[in-house]
Amino acid sequence: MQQQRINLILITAISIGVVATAYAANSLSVGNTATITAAAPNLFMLTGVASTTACSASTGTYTETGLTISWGSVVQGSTANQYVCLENTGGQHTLTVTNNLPAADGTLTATIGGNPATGQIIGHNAFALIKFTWVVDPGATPSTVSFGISVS
Amino acid sequence: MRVRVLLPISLLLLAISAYGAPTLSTSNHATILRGDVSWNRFAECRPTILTLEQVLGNQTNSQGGALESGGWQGMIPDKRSTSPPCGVNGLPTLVEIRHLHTSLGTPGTSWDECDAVIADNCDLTLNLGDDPTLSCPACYSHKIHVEIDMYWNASRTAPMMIPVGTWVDVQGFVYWDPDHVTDQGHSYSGWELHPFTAWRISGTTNTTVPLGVTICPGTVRPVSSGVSQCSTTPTFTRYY
Repeated sequence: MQQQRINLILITAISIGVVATAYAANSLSVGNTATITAAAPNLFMLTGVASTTACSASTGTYTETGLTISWGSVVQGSTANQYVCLENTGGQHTLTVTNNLPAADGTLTATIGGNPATGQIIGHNAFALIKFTWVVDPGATPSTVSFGISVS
Repeated sequence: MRVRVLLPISLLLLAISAYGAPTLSTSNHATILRGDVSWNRFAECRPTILTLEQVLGNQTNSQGGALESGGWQGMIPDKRSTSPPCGVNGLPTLVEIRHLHTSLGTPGTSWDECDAVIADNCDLTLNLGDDPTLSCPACYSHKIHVEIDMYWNASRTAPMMIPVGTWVDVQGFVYWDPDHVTDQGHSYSGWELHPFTAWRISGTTNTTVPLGVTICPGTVRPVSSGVSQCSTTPTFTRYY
């Protein structure tokens, strides 16, 4: 009888230990550390769109190479505009737009929604309509000109 | 084994193709044309200076008239517009042509389509050319039909009529009127400056011209085929 009581106590203790052990395993905590870095921008462009375009994935075929803008004929002293759609499939990014139009041929600006494009943020999977405005210098030499515009 | 090799390569190519560029570079091309200011404040475009031959081109039909295909493709779609587009087909629409003569073809200004579009108003039309010595049909590719449009006249923003027998520099919007390619009085061509916006005596440097309305105090009567004239001296009232 005494032995049976001892066995019962042992079995009970072992059972409590098993349960306690199982419970502890369910409560394990793991410390996690990571460094999140900004994703690089992935820019694509669609040239030759209309001023009223609501840029989206369905606007046309975006590309990152072979981009050409044909301004046609512009008149000394006039203002000419061209529009492009920009897509960013990468991380959020602050835009910078530069050009190498010769100063003698005028000034070229880039705007998004009426504000300078440079400094504006384009988010992940976002689209933007960029307006390029060329104020042709009244003294620009009548000729054929080529120049570049970079968007980064 | 093949799947093990090709699958990663395919995924790599897919990743490369979906990856854009951190910097986009565009190649830009343009032709800068010689320009001037508009002498008519209501023609709010920058005119480009062309020769008559640049506007008409060098392609002619069997009667010597300039063809549409060879001429200046920056033509406006609506000759009645008081605010035409400044550019069409990548070309400016408002042009300036210097040193044209007024006495070719018709005997002075013709009053056309009176009351046909708006009441008590006509188009005031004239032929201008750059070489009065040419005989026809060679002359046809050196003349252009110009029209002070009735809507500009009615809105008191039109120039005066051009006195016959003078050399002038002119500005106007290029228009192709297909209804006149068989008209001798239209040089067998559809080319026009319509609306015709301003003129000045050649050799002067005026950059503004009087603007207003021209009316015929008498009656407008046909005097020859396709030509109608005012029975009395027209009057010009200046508003600008």
